Amino acid sequence: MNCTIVVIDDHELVLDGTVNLLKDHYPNATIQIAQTRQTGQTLIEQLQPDLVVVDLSIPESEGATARFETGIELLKFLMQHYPTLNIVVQSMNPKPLVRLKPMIDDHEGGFTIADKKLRRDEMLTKLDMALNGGTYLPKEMKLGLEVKPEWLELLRLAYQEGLQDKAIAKEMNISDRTVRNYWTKVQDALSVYPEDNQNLRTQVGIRAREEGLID
Amino acid sequence: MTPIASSIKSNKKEQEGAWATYWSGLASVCTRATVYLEHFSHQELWFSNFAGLQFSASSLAELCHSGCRKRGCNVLSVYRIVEVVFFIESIPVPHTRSQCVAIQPVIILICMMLLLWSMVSYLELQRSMRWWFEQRTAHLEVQSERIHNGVMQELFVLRRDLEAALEPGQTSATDPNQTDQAKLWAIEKIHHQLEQISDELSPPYIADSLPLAIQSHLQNWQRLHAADLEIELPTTWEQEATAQNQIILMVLNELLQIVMPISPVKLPCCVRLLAQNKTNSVECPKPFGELLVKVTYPNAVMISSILHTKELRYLRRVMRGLARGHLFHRRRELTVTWYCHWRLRSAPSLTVGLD
Repeated sequence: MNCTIVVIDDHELVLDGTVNLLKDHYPNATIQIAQTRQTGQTLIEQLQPDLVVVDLSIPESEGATARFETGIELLKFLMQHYPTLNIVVQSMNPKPLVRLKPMIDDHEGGFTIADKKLRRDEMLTKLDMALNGGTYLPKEMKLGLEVKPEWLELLRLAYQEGLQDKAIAKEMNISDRTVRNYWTKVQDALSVYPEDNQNLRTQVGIRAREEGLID
Repeated sequence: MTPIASSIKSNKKEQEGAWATYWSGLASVCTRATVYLEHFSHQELWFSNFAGLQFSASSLAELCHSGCRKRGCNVLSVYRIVEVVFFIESIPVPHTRSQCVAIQPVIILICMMLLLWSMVSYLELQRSMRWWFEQRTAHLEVQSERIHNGVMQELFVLRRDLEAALEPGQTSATDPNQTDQAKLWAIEKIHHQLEQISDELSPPYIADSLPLAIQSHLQNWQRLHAADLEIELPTTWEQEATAQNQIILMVLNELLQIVMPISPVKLPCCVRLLAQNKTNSVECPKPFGELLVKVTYPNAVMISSILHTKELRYLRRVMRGLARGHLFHRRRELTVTWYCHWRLRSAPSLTVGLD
């Protein structure tokens, strides 16, 4: 896959490990690295990458102390200024991200959280998912089933009215891209993720019925 | 024998009337103080520090009415009574009704001073305890973060190296796969243990969301105790100070330890968190948090033994002193519901979760 990836992490060894992993998995990708928020932000502005892999605990600039608040601020900035950017948060402690949940729900690009405790293959799944515009938040960050009214409307139109995405977009007066984004959010809310030999939309329908979201 | 006691013994009949006036004067002051404090607490300082003092004043009034002969009075009230008597002993003992009347303003003044002193010292103590607790919470949070950013990061690097070595096509000199796989498991185990230590130092989500922190804690608790827990948590919650969340979580943990004893039968338990809007004043709504733990017991003996534990009494004081709230219970047949109430910073409407 030809893509540009920016990796932001203040630990040199972690950076090396992540870059090696990315090079193995995406041999044709252009990978750039940054160790502070400032350099990372500049790189993203210059390169407009397809994917950003960011650690939460990073320093503001060289010599500064790494703080998760800095990572939170960077993510806020990225989601505000690049609403379609694909982001993977790779962190040892991603829990403070819960502060950004409303923003993540509205973000139109891919957004996945990869706890550093994940195995290599699980980490790669999260990278692929984000690159394809998917959303993944760990279950422990959710209080039960959290579904927005517009996502419910999408489910109703798709499974009860039997409408296609284009017709749903017209009915809900939103863009095709937003419909696709709603699908990824619904998939995450229902914990339905891409798996081999499984039709995602069918799985979503089954789970939505199990949860009583649709008749 | 104190001067008061000996004086009473020698002139028992003569002084009976005088002492009645003496105690009734004291009771009257305390009653007035109770009403005064109650007025304050209803007006502005709901759930405030006056609660303890108000209780003490009313207990004191009650004790004075019964001539301090009532049994079962709490230690704090007895302590206050001792303080009053100590002061009274420094005043000449009244022998006649007129002497009693003359001395009454002095007693009133002493009582008011005592009440004021009690109030100030109580507030000071409470502030100090809260400060201490906040400092400890912040310190432990830093330590927890240090584990995440230090040793766990290094472990992550080691792990990725091993995983890369285990990838197909990679070879090692001696017994490659088994050794590396064993190392990988060991690293996973160490990682898990470090995470547990870090969570013990600073519970997950404690700085970000009380409902998520409670959810995480209860899920752990459920796993460890194989308990029959029903959890109801709100999806919206106004974020409080980390130390306040920590106190509530600790109170919940201790409460569960006390009210859910090891039993051969599973005790059905419901834990619910909600924000209440007290609507006794339109101008000044007083939202408060309510954490409810409802347990159904197999028999009344178990309930009785739980309700009389000293730990429950301590927990009530911790809740009052540190969280500026209340812990109380209501019983209905074999079901007991414990309530933790504490004042919220503002109305529940925002933050974590979806509307």
